[in-house]
Amino acid sequence: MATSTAPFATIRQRNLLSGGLALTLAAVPAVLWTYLFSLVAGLLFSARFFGQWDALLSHSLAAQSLTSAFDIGTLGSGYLRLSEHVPGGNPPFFGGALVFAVVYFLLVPGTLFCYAAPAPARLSTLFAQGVAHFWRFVRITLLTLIVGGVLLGPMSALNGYVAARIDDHIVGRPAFVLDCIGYVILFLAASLVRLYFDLVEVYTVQLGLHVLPGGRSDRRVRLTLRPAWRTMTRFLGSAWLSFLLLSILGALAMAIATRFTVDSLAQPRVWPAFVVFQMGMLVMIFTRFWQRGAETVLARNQPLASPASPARSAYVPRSTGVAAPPAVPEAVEVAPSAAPGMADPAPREDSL
Amino acid sequence: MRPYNPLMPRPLLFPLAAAALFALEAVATRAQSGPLTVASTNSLRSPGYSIATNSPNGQPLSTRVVAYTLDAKIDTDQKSLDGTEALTYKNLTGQPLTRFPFHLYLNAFRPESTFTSETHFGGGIRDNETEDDYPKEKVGGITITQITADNVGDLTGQMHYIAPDDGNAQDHTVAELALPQPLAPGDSITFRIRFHDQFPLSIARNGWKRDFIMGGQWYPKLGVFWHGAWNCHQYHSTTEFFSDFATFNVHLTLPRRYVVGASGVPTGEIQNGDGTKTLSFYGEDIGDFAWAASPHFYVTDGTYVGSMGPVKVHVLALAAHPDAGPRYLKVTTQTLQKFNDWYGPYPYKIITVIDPEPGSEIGGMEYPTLFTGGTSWFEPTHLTEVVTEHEFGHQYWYGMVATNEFEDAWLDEGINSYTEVNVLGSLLGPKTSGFDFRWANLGDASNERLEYLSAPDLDPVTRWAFKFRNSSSYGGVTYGKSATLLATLEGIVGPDTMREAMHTYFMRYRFTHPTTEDFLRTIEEVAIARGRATGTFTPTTPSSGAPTLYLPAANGTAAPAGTLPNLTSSLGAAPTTLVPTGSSLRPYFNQAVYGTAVLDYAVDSVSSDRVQWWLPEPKDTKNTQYRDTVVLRRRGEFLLPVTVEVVFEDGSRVREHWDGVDRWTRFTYIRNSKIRSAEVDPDHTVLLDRDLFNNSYTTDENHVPAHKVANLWLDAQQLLFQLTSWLV
Repeated sequence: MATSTAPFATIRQRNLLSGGLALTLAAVPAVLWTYLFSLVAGLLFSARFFGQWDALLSHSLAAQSLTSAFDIGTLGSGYLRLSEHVPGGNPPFFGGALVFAVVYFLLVPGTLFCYAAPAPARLSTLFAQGVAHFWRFVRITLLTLIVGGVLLGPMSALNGYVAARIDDHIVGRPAFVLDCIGYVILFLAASLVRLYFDLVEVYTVQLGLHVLPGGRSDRRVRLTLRPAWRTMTRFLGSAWLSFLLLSILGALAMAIATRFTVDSLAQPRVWPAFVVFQMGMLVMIFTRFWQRGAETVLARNQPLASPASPARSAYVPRSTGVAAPPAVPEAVEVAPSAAPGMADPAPREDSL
Repeated sequence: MRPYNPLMPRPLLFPLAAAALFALEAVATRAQSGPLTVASTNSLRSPGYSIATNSPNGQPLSTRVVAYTLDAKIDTDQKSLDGTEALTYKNLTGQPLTRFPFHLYLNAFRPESTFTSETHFGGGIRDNETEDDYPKEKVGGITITQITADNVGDLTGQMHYIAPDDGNAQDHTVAELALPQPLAPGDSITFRIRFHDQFPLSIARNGWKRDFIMGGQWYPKLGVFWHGAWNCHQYHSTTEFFSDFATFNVHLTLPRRYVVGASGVPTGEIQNGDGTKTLSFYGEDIGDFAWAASPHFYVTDGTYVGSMGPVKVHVLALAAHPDAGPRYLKVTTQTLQKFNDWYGPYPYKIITVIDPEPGSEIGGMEYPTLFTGGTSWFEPTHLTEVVTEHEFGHQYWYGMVATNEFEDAWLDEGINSYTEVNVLGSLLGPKTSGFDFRWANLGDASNERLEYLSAPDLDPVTRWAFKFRNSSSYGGVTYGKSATLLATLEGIVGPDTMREAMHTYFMRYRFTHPTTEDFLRTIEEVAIARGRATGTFTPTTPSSGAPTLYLPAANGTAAPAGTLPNLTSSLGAAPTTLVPTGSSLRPYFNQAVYGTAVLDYAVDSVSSDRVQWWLPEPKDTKNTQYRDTVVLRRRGEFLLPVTVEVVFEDGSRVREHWDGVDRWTRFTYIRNSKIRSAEVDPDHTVLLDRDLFNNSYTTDENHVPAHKVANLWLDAQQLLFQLTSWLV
């Protein structure tokens, strides 16, 4: 089994948070593009909704209770009114999420590529690399769902069982606190799953930087599973803490923005709530990409050994001001059958 | 505020109230000194004094048709009860009776019952039981192990189940007993019953949760002989209850650690040698008896001095809800005051508030002199107040004005929802009685209206409760539409007239079983008398077939002279035989109460065009004449006169009236000003209008509301995006 070797050990082990932040700032257009797509998709899928409500409210005196106040009764009767009388029914709530998910499948690998290469986060680059990595990320997502389901499903059931037992004996605030503890444990487990597959994604992009003898980049996701696991377990403390810290930071920003939005509901102006919420959303997206950057730094510190020989980069990096990974990284074990695997003369593409 | 003081000048109330309170305490002290038997309780019921009510001179307030004596030993581990019941029924029907139907409500909690079937397929007011299995712990039941009748003998073998509503032989919520000899008019019979209860895991207001037990509908209860026949419906998914006024002498034995709240007044407590205690309660002029027990209750007591005397507000809140006790107490006392001032006096000496176990299906529920509320450890809205007020209101609309909840559910739930809106609006603000955060508000009236809008036209409010299309329609119509149609009626006749009508209705029909027509004719009578409606009074007599409007009637029949307490003369409602006919309110009642027509008037169009349209547009618009036009449209089938207010840009305004019969009408003005807005129902009294948004049109466009709503939608979308993105 290969392990970290001397040449790599000489590379300065960058701090995950600061290194991740540097990577994210270097590729900040990726963050902005992601936010922009979120906003545009949201606006697009809200346009019909707005049109319906505007037609109902803009000329009605009954809507005044929604101008300098926020009367839930008026809102509710408007909803019931539109539910009954809108031709074609209500606008789909989940359609936008579907569209955004597809775009996100392109933006994330593109961004990770820009982190890993490194490369400028142009939209063309993001999409080009997103298309190139699309099916690899679909496979990783399927794996995430399977592993997440296998792990979190029973945990969730266990949590439900424990909550029911708690409910048999404890009520009120103490029961709420205990229930919350259960959900925090679930969240921590889910965060571990997410962290692991984040690393799988980072390693997958890293692996794709290398060209196989056939001239195509290495697309074998399965070669990244074990390295991701070893890296995560070896650096669990720093990796997980960074992940959680940034998750909480993003959630906190969103919570503050949401609170401000809610508190502004009775105000006769909408734009302050809009601006603050969008700022919160931007911060949340930024912290997610910051997490990706931190994971990329971690993966750089523990890079994959090239399974291909001779290895050469699939992308010529341009200067981004961020330290580039070694052109020919060596060292970490690649797969359980790493040694023979790396000697595999004809690895199947697009396979796990 | 309309103070009511029918009995005595207010300055005299306080010393008398203090004396009555002292007497009550003396009773309790005596009762605690030793075992309390039926005889000892009766011995306290001396002339001129009432144990459980503040009745003047101790007179019965109702026709006490039944006397129950119940003795129950509660097994708190098994959630079961073994009881004995002595039930004395007095035949005041004027005809011999052979058959006697009994409600056995606990048998509803079985998969075979009509209640469960209806709940499973059509929904229910609590647990919907939509799963395809019926949990074992949710099985409840009541078994009569023996029933005898004095001077008749053992009748256990004669008892058999009947299903008068749907013929479901497996229902078992009504049992019937046939006597070998009929009970003659004026005679009494005493049944002695041994029964066993198994309480279910909480379902539909009943049963247990953890170590909390709610004893509702827990004993065999006789049906009501009403309108010439026994009225004893099966238990249905949406129905509540109907029973005769009675006295209850109840003894409950259970472990000492339990705290118990029950109907009636507590009359004694005995510590038994086996670690249990026996609690005694006595209730009179009430139609049912319920109790609740938990080891986690803490007591918060207060006293309200009403116009009939002091009322002890006895709150049993759970330790898990440390703020609930004072909160229940405050709103109950405030509500007592409002009801006393607006509708009439609360005559009982006690009202007990039970805080139901969290996570249970008990919820808010009314029983005579006792109700369950609803709250949680974190409750920043006014939901606690709304539930408390509502359930207290049932002391009037169900408890005293004891309408048939199976056949006229709107008379208790609907009227109660209407008074709930008014009382809470007075206490917490009309626009903020649901909740009043600084960022949003909800009024209870809006809440009722939303419920109405959820099912506005499937069923009339007068439909029998178990014949509604489903539980949603039942809820939307019985609560929401009823409250909304009465609020609209208040707008038609005026708040003062409506309040007087409600007061008259309560005073006239308390301790009786009135019908829909009794209620509506009372409204008509007061509205006509106050000049708020037109109509004539026609002399009639009860024997002519007209409703017994002005004679307090027990069991829905004209009572023989001398069998009823002379409540009407003592409390201010003079008997008469005049019945209002041809009132101008009747078309409204026919549509809103008996019909399902939808009310929807709209401003169809507003336009301001230059009269000399063929000339170029002048620069000086102030001297330009406009042809201002407003077109109103009737979109629904409901007919109601319409008022519209037209506001012009020069600030002038004009109100027009339309009979609302045709499908549309047009108002045209030639003025030197354009129309700024037109609004149907400018005083906002016709809440029954299904669509309030089309009631007005303003030329001043305002996009802020739509932007607000759309911004929320956008925010929710983007949050969903981010949630989805965590999968990648």
